[in-house]
Amino acid sequence: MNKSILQAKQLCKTFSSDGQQQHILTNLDIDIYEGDFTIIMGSSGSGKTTLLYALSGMDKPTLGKIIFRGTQIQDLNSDELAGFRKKHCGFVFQSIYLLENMSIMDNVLTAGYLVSNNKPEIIKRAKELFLQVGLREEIWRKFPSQLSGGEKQRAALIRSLINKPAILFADEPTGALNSSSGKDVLDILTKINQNGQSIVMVTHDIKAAIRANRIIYIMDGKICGELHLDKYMETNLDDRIKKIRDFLRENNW
Amino acid sequence: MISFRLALTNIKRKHSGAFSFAIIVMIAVCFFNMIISTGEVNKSFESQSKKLNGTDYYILFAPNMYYDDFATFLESKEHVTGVNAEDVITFSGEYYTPDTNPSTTSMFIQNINTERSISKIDIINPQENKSGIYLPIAFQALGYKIGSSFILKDSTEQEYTYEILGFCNVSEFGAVSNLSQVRIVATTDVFHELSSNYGTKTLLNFTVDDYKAIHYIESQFTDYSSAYTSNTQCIEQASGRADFTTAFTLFASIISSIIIAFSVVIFIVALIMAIYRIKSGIDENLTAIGTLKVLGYTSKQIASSYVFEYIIISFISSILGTILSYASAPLYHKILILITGVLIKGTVHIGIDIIITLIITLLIAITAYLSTLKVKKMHVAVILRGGLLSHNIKKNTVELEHAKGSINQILCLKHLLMYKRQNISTCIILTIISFTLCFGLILFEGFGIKDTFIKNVLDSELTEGNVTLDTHADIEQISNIISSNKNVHKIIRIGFEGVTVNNTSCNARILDNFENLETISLAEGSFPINDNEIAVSIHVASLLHKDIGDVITVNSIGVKADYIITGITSSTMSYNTYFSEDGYKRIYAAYAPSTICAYLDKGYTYEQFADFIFSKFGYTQSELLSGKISYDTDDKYSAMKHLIDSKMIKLKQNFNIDSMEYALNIDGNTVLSSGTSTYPIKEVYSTASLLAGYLNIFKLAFGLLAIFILIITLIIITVVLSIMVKQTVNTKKLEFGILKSLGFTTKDLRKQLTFSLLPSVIAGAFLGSVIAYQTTLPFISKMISLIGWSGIRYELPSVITLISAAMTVTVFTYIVSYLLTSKIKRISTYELIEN
Repeated sequence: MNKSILQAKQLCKTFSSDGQQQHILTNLDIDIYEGDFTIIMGSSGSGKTTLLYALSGMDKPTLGKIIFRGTQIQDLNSDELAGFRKKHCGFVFQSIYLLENMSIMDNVLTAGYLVSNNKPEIIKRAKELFLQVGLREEIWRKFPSQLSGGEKQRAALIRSLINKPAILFADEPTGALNSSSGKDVLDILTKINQNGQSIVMVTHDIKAAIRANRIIYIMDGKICGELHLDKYMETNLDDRIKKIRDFLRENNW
Repeated sequence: MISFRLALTNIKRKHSGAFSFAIIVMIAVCFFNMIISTGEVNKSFESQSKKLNGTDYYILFAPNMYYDDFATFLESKEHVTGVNAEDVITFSGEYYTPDTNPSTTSMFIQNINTERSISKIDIINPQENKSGIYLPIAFQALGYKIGSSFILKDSTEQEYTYEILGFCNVSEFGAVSNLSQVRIVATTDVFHELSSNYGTKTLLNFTVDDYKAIHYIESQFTDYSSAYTSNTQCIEQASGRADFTTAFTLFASIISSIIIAFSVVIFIVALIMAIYRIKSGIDENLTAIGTLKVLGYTSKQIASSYVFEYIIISFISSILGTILSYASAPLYHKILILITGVLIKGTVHIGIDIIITLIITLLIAITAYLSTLKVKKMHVAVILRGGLLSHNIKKNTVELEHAKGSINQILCLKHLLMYKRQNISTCIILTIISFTLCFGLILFEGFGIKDTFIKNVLDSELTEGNVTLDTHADIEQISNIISSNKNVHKIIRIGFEGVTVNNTSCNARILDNFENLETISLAEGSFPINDNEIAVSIHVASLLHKDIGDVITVNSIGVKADYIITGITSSTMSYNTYFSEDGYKRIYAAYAPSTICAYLDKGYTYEQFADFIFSKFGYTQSELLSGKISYDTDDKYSAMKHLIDSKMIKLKQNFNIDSMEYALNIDGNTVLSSGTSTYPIKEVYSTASLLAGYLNIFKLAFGLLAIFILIITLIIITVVLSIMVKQTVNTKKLEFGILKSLGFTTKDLRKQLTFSLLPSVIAGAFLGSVIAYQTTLPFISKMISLIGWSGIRYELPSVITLISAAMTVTVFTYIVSYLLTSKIKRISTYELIEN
């Protein structure tokens, strides 16, 4: 079994509004293993995105611990969490969230320059990643509004990978894309995972779920089930899909 | 109405922005209302004057120069409706209480029990059977209190302490210092005590039914009185209503000008903020606007909601501004009373308030309407796309690949170049605000610190060492002795006479050497060199409608001569005319200078000069009269001499005796002898300290004004920034969330936002200061000239003032905007993204 790089113990997250409280996560324990492609699934409102944001340091849990490589991060202040995110995390959003007022190259370099002063190296890496994901040089200086959804999401992916994060977090990265673009993005994620990148992804989409080697099912803020699979291969997909469907059915998906 | 409901919803939703905008409008309206108060100064002055039958013309005679025939002469003149003469004491020196600093001025002291039909005095709560003085109501604004001790100190350090019994309303000379006289009313016992030491002079007041006849009447009177007394110096001082009224209203007019400029500036800021808020608001809420359009709202309804929003805010804040102006009126009136001496009764002017409210609301509504035209032009699809048109090719302002500097610096620069509209708005607003602050500082510097303006208004040569000579003094000998003092670097000899010029009474100033003058300055031309030349003040030139090169006729006790005007001095108040000694002798052959003005070296004080005069000439006549001379108590003749000499000088002064001598013989031996020739010096005094006294009042008034402008400016900056920064944070919430998710700290984002404002802030701050530097004093000079005071001279403001204003605005703006960005700290990355 791979080494655990990120753990959450007794994780709780509660939102308060107008005197009313909503318990989203309740005493949740989870481990994320190095090199795994972990998918978190569940119905709407189950707490998937909340869990993702808590694990990635984007939001603070109400209670519980989050330990990254032996260091507890739940009590870090805002600036320390920012430091944690920039060095160890990459994030891809469903809504993509590229900065609209700069080119996609600048979007990527914004993230890169934040961590390293070695600009030539960052630029070189960015260019390599652009080519790896199939984005030609002609479009590097275009603005997000000039690109298709798939191109934008691939640019966002590069932004999340520029600093070689320990874990890549993805929140429904194919949710706003058509099936062709979505497949392209999933192919990229699969490829980088095969090269050793740890990925934690939230999705509704079974086509995305089959890429994972570990599927966690959440309901009402708790983990209800976990499915381990072999690493994704393009062969024998029917068997994979069946296992996943059975797993989801068992968990009342 | 749908639009009205939308407007109310918008206000409720963006209440902090609406509140900030409302504050700016409120302040502008408050100032507009204050202008009305300032305008009431003239009205209040006129009404007070009418109530107390204020004089149209006053004449102060030299001691024992008044005769009853003068009143009879005036009563016989057409248009004269009333004549009143009374004895007054004139006092030059310091006044203060134990709680206040000394101020220097000259005063009329009047007897409370004197019957007077003109220039009556209205005592507020008179106290019976008590001894003391009543001060004009303006003193109350300065902090003088009933029951406090009021101390008068003359040039010989003689002090008189009286109780302040109360305050009074007067028709003129009621300001704490209005560059001529201050009136004080004394109980009979106090009046007698002071008169026994300083003597009395006669003050003659008269009123007319047609003010246009004044100059003709007074010039006839001057000729008559001079001929009657065979003395060109029988009238010490005279002035008409138009002149001493202008003295009061000058500063009210200056303040009006400043407040008008200020109000307009703040209102412009309000309009710019309205445009900025609306346009930013539209950009921020494009999706909401698009959704409303999808639902079927028309562009007109959506645009109307913005217009209604601003109508509501403007209307309410105008009303609040009006209320604020009434609430702050007592304080503001106090400042006006201090400066003008006029008791201003606050009035309610609902009609004008309504008009101001409607005008301001209308202007803001029009601005709001014009700002929303953008909404009409956009199709729904474009709006929902975030305002992007199909061929929206943007330019990447700074490419990170090639940019130098840290990522924070680069993003800051990108923001600066991307948000042009915001930067231009910021620059314009900061230019206006910086202009306002610099304006206030320049006024304070120009009128409260530098003395050029005061010097020009006073039109007197201000020197530390002035020596008034007895009629028979040996001027040459005294001049030589004074010049021999190594601490006196130059002297001038000057005479003070009265003349009529083209039937207008004027003061004649006769000098032996115009080149030595330091205070009196020329607006144009040159001082007289030849004996048929004359220089006049701007005021005289304007009254006579004459200019350089014109010829005027000067009359002194029936002797006339023509003079060519060669120069015009800077004074806009005085009736001074300037002659060379030979020039004046053409109309008064027996002329002799009366005063030697000594210019003392720096560090050599007036007191040291006075000691020097004593060492050379002994006691002065005024020292003798003060009773403060010490004498050898063992020597009876010394005491006797002191007593006799002081009586002798008193007789000389009170009865205008030319000279006296006496000798005391005992058993055929002359044991004691003296004469008026023993005291060739009448008085030693300093006029430079008078300047300091007047300057203090200006310093106080303009200092208060500068502080007031500074506070308002800082409030406006804070309010404007709170609107802009909050708007920016709201607009860029998602962007901040994305950057935070990438690992930018809150501090990074706050600095980026604040530093991106800095270039436009610095540009605006310095531009505003430069514009103020160039325009403030010319503007004030122009405003003052509109009320008849032309040719105001002032020194250019110092560059330090300009830089101070710009730096203050820049630093304060940076600090406030950084503090305002603390909102980013409180929002987590998750909340920023999920909004």
